[in-house]
Amino acid sequence: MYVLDRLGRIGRFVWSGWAGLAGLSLFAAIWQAGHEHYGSFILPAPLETLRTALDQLADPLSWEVAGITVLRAVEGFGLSALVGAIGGLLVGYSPAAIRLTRPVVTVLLGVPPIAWIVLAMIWFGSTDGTIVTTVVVATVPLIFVAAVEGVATRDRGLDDMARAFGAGPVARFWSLGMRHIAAYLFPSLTVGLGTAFKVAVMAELLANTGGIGGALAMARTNLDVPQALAWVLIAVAALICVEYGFVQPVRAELERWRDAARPWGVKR
Amino acid sequence: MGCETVTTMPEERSRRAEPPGPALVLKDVAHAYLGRTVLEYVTLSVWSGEVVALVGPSGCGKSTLLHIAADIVEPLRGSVERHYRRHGVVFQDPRLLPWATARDNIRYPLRFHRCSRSERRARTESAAARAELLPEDLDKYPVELSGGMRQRTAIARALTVEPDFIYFDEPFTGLDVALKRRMQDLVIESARSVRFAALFVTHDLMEAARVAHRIAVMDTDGRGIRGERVVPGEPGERSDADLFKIVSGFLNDDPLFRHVHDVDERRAI
Repeated sequence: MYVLDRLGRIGRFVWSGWAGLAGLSLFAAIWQAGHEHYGSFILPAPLETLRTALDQLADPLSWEVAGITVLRAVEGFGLSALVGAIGGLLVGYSPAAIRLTRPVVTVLLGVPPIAWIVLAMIWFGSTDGTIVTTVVVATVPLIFVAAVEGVATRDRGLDDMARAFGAGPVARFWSLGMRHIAAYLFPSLTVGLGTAFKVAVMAELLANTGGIGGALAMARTNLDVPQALAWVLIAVAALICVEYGFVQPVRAELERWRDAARPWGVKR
Repeated sequence: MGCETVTTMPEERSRRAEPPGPALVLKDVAHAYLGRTVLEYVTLSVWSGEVVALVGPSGCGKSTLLHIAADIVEPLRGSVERHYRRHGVVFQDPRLLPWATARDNIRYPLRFHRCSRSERRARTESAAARAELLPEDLDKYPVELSGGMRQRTAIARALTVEPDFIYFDEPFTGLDVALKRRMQDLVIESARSVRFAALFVTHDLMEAARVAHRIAVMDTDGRGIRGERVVPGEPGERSDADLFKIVSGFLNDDPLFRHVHDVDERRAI
């Protein structure tokens, strides 16, 4: 019974891949139309780009370049997940702290990441530190706000219920609080991971510190459009792999009960 | 607390069953929210095996008193003595975990008790059976259950800890009349077979007269218990005609119940 249910859900998930594929094909078709209208120099054909990307992936040197970016993005993301989540949890339980930190978060969210890159370059020069700092500054507020929101919207009725059945504060936090906060924290972590990749590439390009951003800067200097697009394709593909290989399955597990409320119709 | 005490339960229970001592004693309890007094001078006791209904107009502090008795809220003053082993609580809103199935909701309180897996399963099954939940509904999430089934799940959850005291906080207010009766019968039946004492908060005098041995009436402003009346007969053995006579007698001839149906919704919490 349990195994069948699980297999059914995995099957549905894989089957929903067709819809994703159809969407991507549509995108490729529009791209192709643009290519035929503007010509190869402005916009290379999707197939050509794919071929360039595959060629690049065959080259071990490209893996090294991509590895640098991934490492920086993940480092920055890990750091901001830790700081944002723990900070958000601590602040969320205190209304006074929420009021104090809200303007700070607004300021942090309002400053464009590009401004941080300039500052970070002055502080750290052309090193990993610049990239990681920029990533952290860009993603911490997102995760922090979500964690605070999660804590602030917890159901006090459930808390009272657990207390009435003899649950201490720690047991209540693990059995109720964490489960509720995860529903807020998790989407913000996915957005944070995406932002971390994008900001890392951007920071690399501007700070000229190698990685995918560095490769893009090189392609720009050489006016090598297929090369540039191929790198974009690789970055996006990596993100899609993370999104559908890890993020979506975990989210589906957390949100199973919401699915139950939709007995028929489109399962997303 | 927990499964480990189950083995010692029979003798403990028989020891207590002989002279029915008090299961719950509230002495001079007072409480205030943000400086506004909601309860004062409340003294009430419930004997073991006895169901006491607490009635009073909306906003008089009945629920607060129940929360204090159930150890959810600390009283400002006064003392609460609990002479029972374990309690369960059924709230007005079922308060089920939305992300857990009915089965997981029922066994949720067992997390806080040291319990073997098989013991847990057995207790969940028997509590679900007692609350007359259908086996196929146990794998559903609360969103898939009707209001009545959710409340049944909440009752089953209170029963899994094998309580000898249950707090009911206006549990059937949102349900329609027929469903309400079935739920009340469920409470009467399980109170008799499991033999738990209960404090049943309600504003429905008919409900109080059906389920309880004794009715305590709370003062309009939460200033103590105005008085108590023993309901003639045993719960479950009173016919509808009896109940109607009892309730109309209370409402028409007994000054104690004069203010029970006064509602000032502007002051209700």
